[in-house]
Amino acid sequence: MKQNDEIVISVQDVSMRFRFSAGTSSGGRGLSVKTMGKQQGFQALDHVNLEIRRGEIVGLIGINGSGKSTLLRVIAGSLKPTGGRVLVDRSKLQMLSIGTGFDTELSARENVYINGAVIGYTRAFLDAHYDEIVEFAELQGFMDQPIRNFSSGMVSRLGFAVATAGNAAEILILDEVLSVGDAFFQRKSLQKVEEMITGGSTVLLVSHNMATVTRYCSRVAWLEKGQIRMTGGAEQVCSAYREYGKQRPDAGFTKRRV
Amino acid sequence: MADAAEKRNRKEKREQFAFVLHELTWREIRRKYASSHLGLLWAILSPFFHLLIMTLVFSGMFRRNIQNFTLYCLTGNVLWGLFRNITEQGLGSLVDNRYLLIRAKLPRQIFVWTRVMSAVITFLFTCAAFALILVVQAMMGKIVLTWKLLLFPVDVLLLILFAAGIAHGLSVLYVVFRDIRPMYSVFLTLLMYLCAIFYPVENLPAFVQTVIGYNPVYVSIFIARDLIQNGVISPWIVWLKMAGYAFVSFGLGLWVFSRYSEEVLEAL
Repeated sequence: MKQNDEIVISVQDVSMRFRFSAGTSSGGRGLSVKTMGKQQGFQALDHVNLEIRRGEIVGLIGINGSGKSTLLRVIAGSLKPTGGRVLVDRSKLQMLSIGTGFDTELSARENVYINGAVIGYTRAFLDAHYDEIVEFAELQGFMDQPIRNFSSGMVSRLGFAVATAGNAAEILILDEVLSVGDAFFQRKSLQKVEEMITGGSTVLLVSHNMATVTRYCSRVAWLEKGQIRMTGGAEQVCSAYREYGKQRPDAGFTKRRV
Repeated sequence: MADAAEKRNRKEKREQFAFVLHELTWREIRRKYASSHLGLLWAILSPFFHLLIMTLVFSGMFRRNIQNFTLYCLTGNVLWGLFRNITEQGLGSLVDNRYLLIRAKLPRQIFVWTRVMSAVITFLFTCAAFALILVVQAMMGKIVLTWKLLLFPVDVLLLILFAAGIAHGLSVLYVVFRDIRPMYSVFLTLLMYLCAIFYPVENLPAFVQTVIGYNPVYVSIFIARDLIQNGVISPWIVWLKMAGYAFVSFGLGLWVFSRYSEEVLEAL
């Protein structure tokens, strides 16, 4: 694959400190409401540096709560970091995550349009690709039902089909889109994602599936407690991550169970 | 050349904004009547029955020393409903759409406008029922409809601006201060009684009358009653007061929103 030296995503010394814990309320600067929560803040990202070059496929791994989603949100621009900066051309960036804005009370058809609009598709685009989406999700005949009647697999299939209906953007962020549906659908979705990421886009892939990460990514960054613990070749980082997983207190228990 | 591209880009952005607004607004409305057999028809039927019952109640049960007391109540109720829906639904617009706000690259204001628009559409359905009652009353010779009714939309627009401003402010405040929802609901009850919807203002003590005179929602109801019931245009000073309320509230609301929404977002 062609890969040149141009850096398309540059995360420079980014820190993100949440001032209030979720749920409890407190005021921001200027809104004179006293803090009610006991926790005074949470360091979600701590001086993170990451550079991604054109055409690279980079994996991002780490346990739940390590800051992966926060980092993605900062890169996508929906969150402003409290320190550092991110250089990226956001007009070329597309973040795929599944089922954004699905409304369980409404029909699948309505949800395709709402979800599509939110993702950024135009009405004309959705009209043109509607059949394709339904076909890919394998939901022919179900589209007029409210999606609360759907199984969770059906919902995520629909979400995946809508999210991947468009042409791949130049910079793709994939947030755990590969663990969707049954084994057959997973094979199909893997193929679709493969098409997207090997089409020359620069990709940042978040996944808990080490096999997927090692298969596609040329480089992997491991996030731990808001800091980059390790970056390097996929094999190297993933095996270090697996080693770390074995040392966790619950490791023995899961091993026995499996 | 770059200019033309820029222009096209802006036009596309506007169109996309309109499309998203349209989809999300209808989502709000359809969701309300989802899985009922009559579906969207309820959006028309429910305000109709609502107003019909009020008409029966107020024309039969309570009679006051107000000419056409039924219409007096209906006008007040319709406008009050518009104000309440916009502000009450606008309040939760950011919090309820937390997930979308975090994930999607959308202008934040769109969520407040979605709620405003859905309240306005509900109001339009109510207005259809209201208009029907007006026509029936006119045919029965109880009121005379004049061209001055054409000024009613202007009054409504001012009330919408006023309410939208408050909705913007409340939506941001609600993110950091969740107690605002029960507080606002109590406040709405108080405000409703200060709108003189079901009783004539003249029966109240002078002090309360003064207070009510400063209530923006009451001012808009006053203007509407003049137009519909009395067939006159309120004095220009009253219109000016209403316009002042509307633009100050709207400006302030937008300012608070743009100033604090970024900061407050992380609390979600």
